[in-house]
Amino acid sequence: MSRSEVLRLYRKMLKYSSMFSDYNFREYSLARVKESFRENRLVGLQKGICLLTRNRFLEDKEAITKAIEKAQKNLEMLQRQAQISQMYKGERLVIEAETPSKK
Amino acid sequence: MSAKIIQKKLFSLPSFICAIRRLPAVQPVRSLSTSVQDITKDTGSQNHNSTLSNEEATTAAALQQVTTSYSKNGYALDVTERTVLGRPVYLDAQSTTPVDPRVLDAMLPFYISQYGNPHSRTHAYGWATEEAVEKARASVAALVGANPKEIIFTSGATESNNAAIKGVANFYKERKRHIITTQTEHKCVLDSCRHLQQNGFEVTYLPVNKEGLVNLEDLKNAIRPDTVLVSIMMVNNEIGVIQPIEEIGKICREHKVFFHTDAAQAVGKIPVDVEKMHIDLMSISGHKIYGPKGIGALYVRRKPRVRLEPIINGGGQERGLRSGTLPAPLVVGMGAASEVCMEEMERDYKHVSKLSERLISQIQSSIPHVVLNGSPVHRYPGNVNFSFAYVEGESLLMALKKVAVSSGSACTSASLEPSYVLRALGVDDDMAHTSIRFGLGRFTTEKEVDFTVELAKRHVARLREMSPLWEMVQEGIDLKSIQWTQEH
Repeated sequence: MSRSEVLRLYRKMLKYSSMFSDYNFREYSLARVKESFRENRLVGLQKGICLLTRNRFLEDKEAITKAIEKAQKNLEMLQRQAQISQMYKGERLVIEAETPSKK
Repeated sequence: MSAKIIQKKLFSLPSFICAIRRLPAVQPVRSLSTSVQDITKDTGSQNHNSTLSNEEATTAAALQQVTTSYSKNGYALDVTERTVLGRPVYLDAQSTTPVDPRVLDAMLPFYISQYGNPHSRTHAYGWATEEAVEKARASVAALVGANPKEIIFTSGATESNNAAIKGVANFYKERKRHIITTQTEHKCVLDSCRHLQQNGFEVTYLPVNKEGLVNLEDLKNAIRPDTVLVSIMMVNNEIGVIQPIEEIGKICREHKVFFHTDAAQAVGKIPVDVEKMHIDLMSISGHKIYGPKGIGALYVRRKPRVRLEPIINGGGQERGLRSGTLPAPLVVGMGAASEVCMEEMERDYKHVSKLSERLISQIQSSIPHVVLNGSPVHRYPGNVNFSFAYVEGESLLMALKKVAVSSGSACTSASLEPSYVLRALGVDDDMAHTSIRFGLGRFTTEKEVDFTVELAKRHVARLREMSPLWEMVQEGIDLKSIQWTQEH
């Protein structure tokens, strides 16, 4: 998978994370997605050669595909759960902004 | 021309995004909004800084609605009622936790299309559900380092505790009639022991020291030749103290006594290994690990075999120890929750420790005369129990309505008796009445912790201002030296 596809996956996950209607799930999901993409940034790293360079010979392709598959599954879960969260909205928490900028 | 392009763009949106906008939102049945008596604003505490960010402004607004104005005698000057929009911030992770979206996602198919009974052996509905149940069992077993055959699903930690204590005691009742437990156990353990006492058993309730830890020498001395079971909880639900389980397990193994631990608050939060800790029986709760309510598990060791007399008889499910159809959606939910916990344990522990340090340091630095109940070292960071001196307990709880916390008083009884756990620690009655338990979890944020601290600061200061005891303390009078009653 190319760099731009991974970034597209990342952006999609952030988009659905921000769609949770519950404050706690929303904040957790956003933070967690960012954390795991940051952690896995160096998956397949060998001898200092990064996924983001053109040199693919020394990548650990299996580890990368595994991480990406896991992210795909999580993305599908986020899509479903964000939808359900919108269907069964609870009330706002007392500390949430009056006019929520994200939906 | 431009309209056509706009139309084209609208139709190219994926269909499910449109579906989100079409579906009607379900209104919550009962409003969780707090209703607060908004007494006229205190002019002294008005925010002069008009350049607050949006976030700070909202928090400030939310806090300002509970400021009060009092006359010199302490009477409220003006009372207007106002409903505060919004449900309270949730800081009660020890009583229950929200169901993680990942867990809900795993459970839903079993409510919708995979509705077979896992014990049906003759068709695909049963086989598919059985497979899922066994997979969940393996997940729960992996979380605690056990074999899947050693996990029995129950309806919760209360049932697991009952089954373990009464089951073991009744199986070995011909030769062994003594049970050891502590004074700070959960109500269900204490009540099971009381029930056994009524049926001819003897129970020793070990005391705990000031920090909530049990003394190992006391335990060794209490074990008799006819002791069958020692039951000590791993993490206390009221004060968060972690008992020295490994050492206790070793002692029990030496003396050939069964060791049961109520690990409802510990599993999934701190690493638990039944082999390393020499545990024979363990109770696990589903809704404390971000799983559904109504499910729990009991770990029953097979090597060396622990025999139990079942408390629920029937078709022989769960090795004959707990008959009844397994609630497949709940079991799958508990399995998913265990998997998520295994993955997230390290990250959650770091997150909760950070929040806990923030909460404890902020409260201790900004509010004087506050006591943290329980050992500051041997504790699970997510459970913070503070006693605020010279503050009336019920008033503080009423004031903290914007935060969902629990008081130290017995949450199981409607009486105003102070908690037996705090009493076992040696805490005075007045301090036990003003104890508040803050529960931090995976989904708690820093903003919520800051909001709670701010609220607690304001209300403790306000309540202390009204308290004559506080005035006396400020003047330097030692309250213990006062004679409140006159001897005739």
